[in-house]
Amino acid sequence: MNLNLEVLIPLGVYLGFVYLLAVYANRVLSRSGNFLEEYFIGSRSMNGIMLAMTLVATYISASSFVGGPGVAYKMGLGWVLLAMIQVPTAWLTLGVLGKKFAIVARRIDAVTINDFLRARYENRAVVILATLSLVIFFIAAMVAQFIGGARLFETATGLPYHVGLTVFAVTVVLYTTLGGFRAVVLTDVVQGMVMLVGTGALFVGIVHMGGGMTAIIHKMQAIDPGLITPFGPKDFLAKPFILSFWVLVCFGVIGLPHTAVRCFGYRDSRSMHTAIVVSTVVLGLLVLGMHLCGALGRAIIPDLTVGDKIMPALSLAILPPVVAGIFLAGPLAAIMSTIDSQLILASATLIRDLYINYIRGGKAADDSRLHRLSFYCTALLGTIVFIASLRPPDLIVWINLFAFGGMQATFLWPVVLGLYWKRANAKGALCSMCAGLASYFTLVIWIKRFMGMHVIVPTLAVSLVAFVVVSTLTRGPEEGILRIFFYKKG
Amino acid sequence: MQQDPRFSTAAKEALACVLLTIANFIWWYGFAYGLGSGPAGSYTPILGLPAWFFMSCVAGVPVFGVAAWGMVRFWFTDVDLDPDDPGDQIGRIDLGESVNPAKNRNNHSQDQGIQS
Repeated sequence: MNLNLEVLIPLGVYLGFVYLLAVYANRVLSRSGNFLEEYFIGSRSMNGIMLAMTLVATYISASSFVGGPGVAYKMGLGWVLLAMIQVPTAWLTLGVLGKKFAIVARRIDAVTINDFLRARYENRAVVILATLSLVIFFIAAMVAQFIGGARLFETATGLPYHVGLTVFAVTVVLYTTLGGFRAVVLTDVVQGMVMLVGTGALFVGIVHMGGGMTAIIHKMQAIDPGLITPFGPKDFLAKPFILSFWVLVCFGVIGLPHTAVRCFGYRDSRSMHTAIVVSTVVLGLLVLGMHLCGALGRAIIPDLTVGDKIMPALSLAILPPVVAGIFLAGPLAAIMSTIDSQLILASATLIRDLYINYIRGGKAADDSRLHRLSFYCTALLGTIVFIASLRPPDLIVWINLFAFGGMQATFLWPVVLGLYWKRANAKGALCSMCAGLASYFTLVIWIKRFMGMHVIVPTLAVSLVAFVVVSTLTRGPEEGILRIFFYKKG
Repeated sequence: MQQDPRFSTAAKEALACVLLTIANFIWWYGFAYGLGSGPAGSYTPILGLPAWFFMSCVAGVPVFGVAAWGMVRFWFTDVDLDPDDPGDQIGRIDLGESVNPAKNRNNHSQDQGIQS
């Protein structure tokens, strides 16, 4: 075992700082009058910069920091092109869900996406199905993130995988459990900054070490001309495949519960306006920077067999050790900020949607009891994920994308149509979720690719058709629902 | 039941976001495959990067950052996010008694027209 102290120390300082933020958030929490609203949505007090950073940090996860550059290393600039279709996600999620989502959420006191679904459809089956699907896919996604984080820790510091996993898991679970949504958002802001600075430093380092951009591109062309075309080596990145990723990582992102929940946690409409601009720029820079580093890294370190190791390998090769330690805090930050938001939302969902509504029949328990339960629930979920990560499978990126698709199959249409289509009703939503999930599982297991496209495309098509057909054939929603969602409240 | 004017504002803004996404797609696709479909040797470099990549991916970030700013600045409206909006307050703003200056600074006349 080769312990790398110069990398370990900055990482340790960084983790310590994250704990401090959690303690601060916990003090705000203990002063707050409404536990649920503070713990799960931070009392809807995010300003523009906080909203932008938390959205970006939640969205950029292990797959875009570890897996993404890893694939870019093998596929070249074509994969960077594919990654760049994520640029519109910020304005798309904030703008399409938009102010209407924020207003409606305040009317119904929504803390989670399922609160929204319950108020809109008033149907037990819809909420239970949504809750189960959310918890299952979140656990899958979190396992992928934990493994990614632990592997990074392992490569960078020289500590064994299990030690890395433990340090990493304890930090995330502890600060999420303690601080709730406010801690998550505060750390997201810090993590967003760390990622930006780190990516910038690495990029400059790579260009410098490779002898300028022109030289690097020539070298990539010499290795394989496919690396600098949009199609990748051996035309691997065919157009239908790239275009279907537009659905999976751009349009479909509107339906991801952990990003959507941020779309009603902001303070006022001006925060949202600022966030649209800031998060578009930050997201664009990060996605471009990280993937481009991976792609250009091929010219610097041409002989890696495991693409996933390119980011740690590059940063250890290029940056001075202390700077590398700070930079590697970046991907860890990215991963942590994704897990923390999934963890907090999964536990919010279990407490709010199953416990309060169906076990206690809608009566809220007293605050101290909820307090304890929420802590236990967050900690328990974290432990489950930790145990599942002890024996890591080989391909983390696909677990994550699998979870992405599953969440979109469940949530995208019920949220978007529920918001904008008056006729959308419970039966339609339920059929859409069932059809979406069933076809998604079938396609993922047996078909893999559909006419050259990712299976999310046929899945979303099937669930949309099911939704529209069933809703049109059955009775529209009650007047009370329409009043909340489409008219003036009074 | 009365329309909530804030919802029609929100719908207009959502539409603008979708249109901007389509514009982004055209930019991204057009430059990437328009300039990049030839063989690897045929690319003109811009700052060392192949032109298709520079235009589609690198230049796309500032261009759409500015576009997003423009959209928000000139098309989006500040509204109050209160659960029970201000139905009657809009009328009052029209009379010049601004209750909340953040509210509907420039679209209240439109909103009046939309209310049924």
